[in-house]
Amino acid sequence: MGCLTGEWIVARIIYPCEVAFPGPWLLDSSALTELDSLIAEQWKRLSAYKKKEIEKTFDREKYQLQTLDSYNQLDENARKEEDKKLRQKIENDPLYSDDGYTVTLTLVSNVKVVESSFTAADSAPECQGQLVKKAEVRIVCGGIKVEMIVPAPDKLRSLSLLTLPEGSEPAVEAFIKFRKWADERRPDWLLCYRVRPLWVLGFLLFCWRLLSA
Amino acid sequence: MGPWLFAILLAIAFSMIAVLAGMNFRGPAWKDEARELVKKDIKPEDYGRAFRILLDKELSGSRVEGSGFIPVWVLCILGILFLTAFFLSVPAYTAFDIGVGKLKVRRQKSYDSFLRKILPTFLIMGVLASALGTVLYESFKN
Repeated sequence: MGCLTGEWIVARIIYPCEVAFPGPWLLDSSALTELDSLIAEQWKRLSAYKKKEIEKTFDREKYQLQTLDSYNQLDENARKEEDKKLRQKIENDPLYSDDGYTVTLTLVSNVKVVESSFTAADSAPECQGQLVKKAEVRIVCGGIKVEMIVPAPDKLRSLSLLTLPEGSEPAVEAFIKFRKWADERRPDWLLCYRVRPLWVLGFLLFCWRLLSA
Repeated sequence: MGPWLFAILLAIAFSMIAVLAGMNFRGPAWKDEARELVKKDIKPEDYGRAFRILLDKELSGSRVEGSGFIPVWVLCILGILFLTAFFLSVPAYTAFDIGVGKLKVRRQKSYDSFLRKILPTFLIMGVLASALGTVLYESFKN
């Protein structure tokens, strides 16, 4: 905490909102069901946050309107109509145009299946004949973005998690919830360090040469 | 914990290889001595030496028939390393319990359970059986 020009400034800590857990990932039905409920819970929470933000913006804009004579001269019904228009304008803000949540599955044939949950994707006809090679979860609500990709396009076949904007309280909370889910299911060392057959072949050949020398 | 354990296991494996590389696989000293004795023809004054070579041979520890001069414990550990490396060479991959992926997840989970529970038990039992076998062989031989 510091005092500059007579105004108190409180230091804010901005935690990183990006993480990657090395794979490979084995996501069974219980993990996916839990992820579905986490997505629904976060959507509900972010929607409530968005509603609150809209109300705040509405109050701010209305306050600005009330300073104008043209608004004050209107009768009760006309004022209500103006308020309604203002609310609609705020709700249709381009900031909220992409709001929604999707689960996108990429199949081995590169066909993408977009659903609202993993449970819904499970019964999709496309998934019955082909394996899923990649899953993406995307939640966008009230300017907050949550993105999870399994496996991420890296060598470690990681699960990557990103929430934006940095420092935003709901984004941090969503990050913590998703991170906790991933942390509880992250693959252990045995799954991560399984070696490639070529290494084993090399080791066997080396030992064979050593013994037959 | 995982990476450290992996590093320790790798260090043990490399130490084993170093020990094996440094071992004399040409055979023990008594064999060279016996070869030399036979070559220059055995005379009555060499009988004592020949007898000592025979005793040396008897006391030189257990060997596996047809394996040259590799001790049993080395073969056991190498066998364990081979087996473990072989089973660990099956790579794991990301799978989702969705549609046909259910079977893949189930199969990988079963294999994972085999690696964690059955394989270590089998290896420990193998080591114990081999150690017990060596002890019994030595005791019956004597």
